[in-house]
Amino acid sequence: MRAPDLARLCEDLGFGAEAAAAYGAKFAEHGLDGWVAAEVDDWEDYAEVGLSRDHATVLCCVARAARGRAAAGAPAAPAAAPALSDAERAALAAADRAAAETGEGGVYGQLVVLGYKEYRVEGSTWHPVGARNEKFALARRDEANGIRRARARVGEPRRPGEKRRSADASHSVTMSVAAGARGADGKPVARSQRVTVEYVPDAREDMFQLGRMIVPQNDFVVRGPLHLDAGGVLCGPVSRYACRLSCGRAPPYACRLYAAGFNNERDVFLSEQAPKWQLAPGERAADADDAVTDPDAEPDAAQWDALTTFGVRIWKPEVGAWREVSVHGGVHEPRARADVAGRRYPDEDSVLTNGTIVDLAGIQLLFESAASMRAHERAARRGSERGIGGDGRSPIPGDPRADAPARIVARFNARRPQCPVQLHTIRLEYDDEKRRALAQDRRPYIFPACGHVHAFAPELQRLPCPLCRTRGPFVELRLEWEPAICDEEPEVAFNPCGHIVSERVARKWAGLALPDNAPPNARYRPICPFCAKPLKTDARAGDQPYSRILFQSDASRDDVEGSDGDSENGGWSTASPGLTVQDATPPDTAERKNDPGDADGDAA
Amino acid sequence: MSLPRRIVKETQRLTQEPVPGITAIPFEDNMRYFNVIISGPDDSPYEAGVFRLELFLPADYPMAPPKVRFLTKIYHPNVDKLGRICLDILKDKWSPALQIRTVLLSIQALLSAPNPDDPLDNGVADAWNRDEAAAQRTAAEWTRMYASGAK
Repeated sequence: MRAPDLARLCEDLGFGAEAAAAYGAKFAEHGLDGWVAAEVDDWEDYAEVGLSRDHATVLCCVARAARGRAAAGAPAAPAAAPALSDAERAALAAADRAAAETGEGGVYGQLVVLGYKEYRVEGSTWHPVGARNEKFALARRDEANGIRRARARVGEPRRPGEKRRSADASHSVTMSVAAGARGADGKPVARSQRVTVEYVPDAREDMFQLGRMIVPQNDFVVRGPLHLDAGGVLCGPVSRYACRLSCGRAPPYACRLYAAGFNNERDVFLSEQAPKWQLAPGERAADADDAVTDPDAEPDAAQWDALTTFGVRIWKPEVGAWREVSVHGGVHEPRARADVAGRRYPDEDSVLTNGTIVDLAGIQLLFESAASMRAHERAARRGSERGIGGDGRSPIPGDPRADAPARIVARFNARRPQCPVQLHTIRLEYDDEKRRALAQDRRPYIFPACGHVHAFAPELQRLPCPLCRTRGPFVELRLEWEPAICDEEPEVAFNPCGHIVSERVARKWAGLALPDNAPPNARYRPICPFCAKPLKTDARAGDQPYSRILFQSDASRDDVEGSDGDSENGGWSTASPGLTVQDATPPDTAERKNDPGDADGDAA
Repeated sequence: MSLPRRIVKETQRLTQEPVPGITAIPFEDNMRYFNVIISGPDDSPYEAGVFRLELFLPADYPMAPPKVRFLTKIYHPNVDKLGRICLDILKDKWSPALQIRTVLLSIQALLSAPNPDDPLDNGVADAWNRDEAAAQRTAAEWTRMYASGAK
C-alpha cells in the first residue's frame, strides 16, 4: 500500500478530505507507506506521526487486515555494492572458510539480557515476562547484509511521490531538520531542510537490529517495560527500532553499535523530539571514516548527527563510564536534557568489547565476546581441571569430569550445611527437576542482608534472621549459572534477591550504576545482573549490596579435618551465631560434635 | 500428631551429650514436656542446690519459645513465687535458632549472675539492692531448705 492509496483509504474511511490530504502528506514525508501497511500494530505508531487517536485506531485495524497482502509490497533489494579490493575479498573468503571449518568467526559474540527483556509495569512494580537472562547470539549470516555509508545530502523537505534515495542506495537515514534546530555554529538553522545519509550494501559486514517492535527488521526483540496508557495501548520507552549492530565478517570481527534501526523501508526515521545537530566545520561522523565517497568532499551543511528520542547508552569496561551513542556511531556524554546531546568523545568508539553493557532506555544487555564464549564452551566440554577463569580468577575445584555447576553444588553439599532452626541438612540442587523434588524445608534460603543460610520455614519469611536478628527478606538461595556474568565459585549473595556470585563479581556489579530509564530522567543504581533488581545500597540504613554466604558454624568439622578445613570449605564461610544469649552461654559451636549420624539422621 | 524432627533431635542430643550440671528428660507420654534438673553453680548462693524445673515446648516451637518454670522454691530476683522466670530469650528475645540446651544454660547463668535491675520479684530485688550480702545469705539458706536434693 502506497502513500496515495493510504490517503484515499483515509477518505473512504470518512476521515474527511482535509484530514486525508494532511495525512497523505505525512505518510509521504515520513516514508511511511510500506511501513504503515506492513508493520504497524498499535495505533500509537500512527499517533506518533500526527494522526488523531480515533483515526489512528481505525486505520490500524484496516492496516492489520491488509497486512498479508501489503507486506508483499516491501521494497525490493536494490543496489550495486561497491567493489571490494582483492585483499578484502581474500580476507572474507578466508574468514568464510574458517567459519565453516573451525567455527572461528561463526559467532561474533552474544548479548545477554540483564534481568528480563520484557516487563509489565503496574504502578511502580515491574512484572517480568519471559525467561531471565535471555541471550542473542550475533551469528554469522549466510549472506552478508551489512551496509556502508555512501554519501550525505541536504535538500528540501520531500514532496509526496518523490523518491527517497538514489538508485544505488539500499538504506538511508533521513532527518527532517526543522527551522530552529542547532546548527554547526550552535545557532539555530534558518529554514527547514531534509538531510539524508545514504548507505550501500557492504559484503564485509553483518547487521543486526534490536527494538521493541515484533517485526522482521528486529533480529532480537527487546520490549522493555510496557504499560497500558489511558487508551488501553501498550507502550514503553524502548524504541520500536532501538539500535543496530554492525559486525565485521573478517577478523577482528568488530561489532559496532549505532542508535536507531531501519524500518521496513530501510530508512531510519528520526522523530521530531530526537535531538539533532550539525557537526562542526570539518568534523565528520564516526561512520564517515569508511564511507564510499570521500567524506571531506561532501558539504559541511550535510553533516548532521542525531540521538534517538529515548537513546542508546553504552558502558565499556575500558572507559568505565556511561556514554550515549548516536545514529552515526558517535560517542557522547549522556544527555542532561531530553533535546540536547552531550559533548562528543572523538577518541572513543562504539565497538563492543567483552563485558560492555548496552542500555536501551533502562533495559541492559551484556556483551560477551566470541573469545570469552569459546573459553566457556571449552571449559564446559572438558570440565577443565584448571577451572575457567585464568587471569587471576579463582578456578572452581572439584571433579574435573563434572561441569562447573555440578562441581559447585557438590562442594556445597559436601559440607552438609545444617539449618540452625530445623537442625537438619540443607541441600542445594542446580537441576530444576531435582530441586523441585526436594522438600521445600530442605532447600537453602538466605537472609541476604546478613548472609545467614537456613532451610525454608514459612515463619521465617516474617521473622528476622534467627542467628543475628537482621531483618528479611528471606529468599531461596539458587545457583544461576551464566558464565558471561560469573564463571567463578559463588561466595556471596546479592541483597535483596539472594543470587549468588563470587566476591570479585559482586564487587564489580555493586560498584556499577545502571540507568533505570531513558535519558535524561534515569536514576543510576547498581542491580543484580541475573534479575535486575536494584541492590540495597543505603549505607545509612546499614545496607550492604551483597553478603558473604554464612552457614551456622561447622567449626567442629574443621577440628576433625584439621588443616584441610579451610581449603575444603573454599569460598563458603561459616559463622558463629551472633546471638548473645547470656555471657555464660558457650557458643553453639562448642557443643556440636562432628557426628555423621546426626547430620543425616533424619534421612531415614 | 508426630513429633517434629527438630524436637526428636534436640532430645537425642540432650540425652547423648548432656550439659554438665543440667539434665532434661522428656515425659514418656508427652515428649514435649521435660523434667529438668539444674545444679546450682559453684561460687553462687545456689551452690550444691538441686533445682527442679518444668519445660514445655508449645505447638509452634521452635518459632515460639519454650515455657520454663522453677518447681523448686528459689530466692532469686528474676524468679517469682510461682517459679516464673524473667529472662529475655524466653520472651521477646527468643530466636528459633536457640534450643532447649541454650535456654537451660542461660537459666544456669542467671543463677550465677542475678539481675536485680530487671526484677520479677520486687521484694527479693529490693533486698538484693539494699544488702546484697544479706540477700545472698537468704538465697543460700533457701537452697539448703528447699533444694537439698531430697524430694
